[in-house]
Amino acid sequence: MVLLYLSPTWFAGYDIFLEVLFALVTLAIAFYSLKIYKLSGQRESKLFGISFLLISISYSLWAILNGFALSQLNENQCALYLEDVGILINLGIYGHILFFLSGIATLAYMTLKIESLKAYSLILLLVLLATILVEEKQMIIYLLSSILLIYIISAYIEEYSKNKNKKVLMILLAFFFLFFGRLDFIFSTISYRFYVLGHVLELAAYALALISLILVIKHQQKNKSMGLRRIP
Amino acid sequence: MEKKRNRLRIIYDILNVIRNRNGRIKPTHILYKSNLSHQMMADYINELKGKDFIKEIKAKHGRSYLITQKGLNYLNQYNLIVDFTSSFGLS
Repeated sequence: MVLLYLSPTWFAGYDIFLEVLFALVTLAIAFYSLKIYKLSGQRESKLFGISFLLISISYSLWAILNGFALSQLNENQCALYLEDVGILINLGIYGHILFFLSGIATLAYMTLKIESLKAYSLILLLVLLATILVEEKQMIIYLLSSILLIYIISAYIEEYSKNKNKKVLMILLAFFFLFFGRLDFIFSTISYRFYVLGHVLELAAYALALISLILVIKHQQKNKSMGLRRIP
Repeated sequence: MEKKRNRLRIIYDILNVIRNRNGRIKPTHILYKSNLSHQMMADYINELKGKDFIKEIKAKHGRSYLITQKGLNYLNQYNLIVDFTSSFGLS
């Protein structure tokens, strides 16, 4: 029987709220990134937007799943098993896993700064096949996403060391929180505390990403209202 | 010393040169104004044509380039593009 995670009953509802929040934040980032891609045709913006869109779909599916779990279980501790649920929910679980890993894999591919469809398909295929074929699903999804996040973080460290941009530092910290959150989720079958902590760490990650996006939007609005055109 | 220009900035400079010449320019003027090597300029021109930021017009006296609406949108939204890409480490 594959146990996905343990969750305390007091946290039920809060987790769904947070997952919906993560889905909305990632969707907003995806929307802006794809808007930038439409304006600039920049490849990085396209990949960044696609990856956040995939992550957003993944969180939406997770929130739906937990909504289902909340309606099914009502004990001191909620435990979600793959075999206990119907085929639709099983598809939802796989959808959540595959969309999240595809999103993170796309992001990792973007940071490698290589333009090769073969390399991208290789990364994606290996990640998805490992997830489908391995028995310990819970372990592999969080382990794989943690490994991919290490590559993303190293690219952001490199970017930050080049230009010392505080905004890049914020995104770097966001990915650090996401990494620790994913790492923490590996232990979410041992104790429900890890499940709660994982959500808190991811909340910190997406709060930083959202602040970065708000700063960009505010700066743009300020420029518009002042009628300024910055001379680059 | 001036910081090295990134791709977004070089594209801005090329499009800005075209816009300042009433939206139409000859390749030699782009080369002169954009401060790029011949090969680099050719690469950027191909990229800009591919992205529909400029159009190539072939005439008796040689080629010239015309800025499109998409190219003008890029110039107008350049600050937003730079803000977003630099904030999210995409530049």
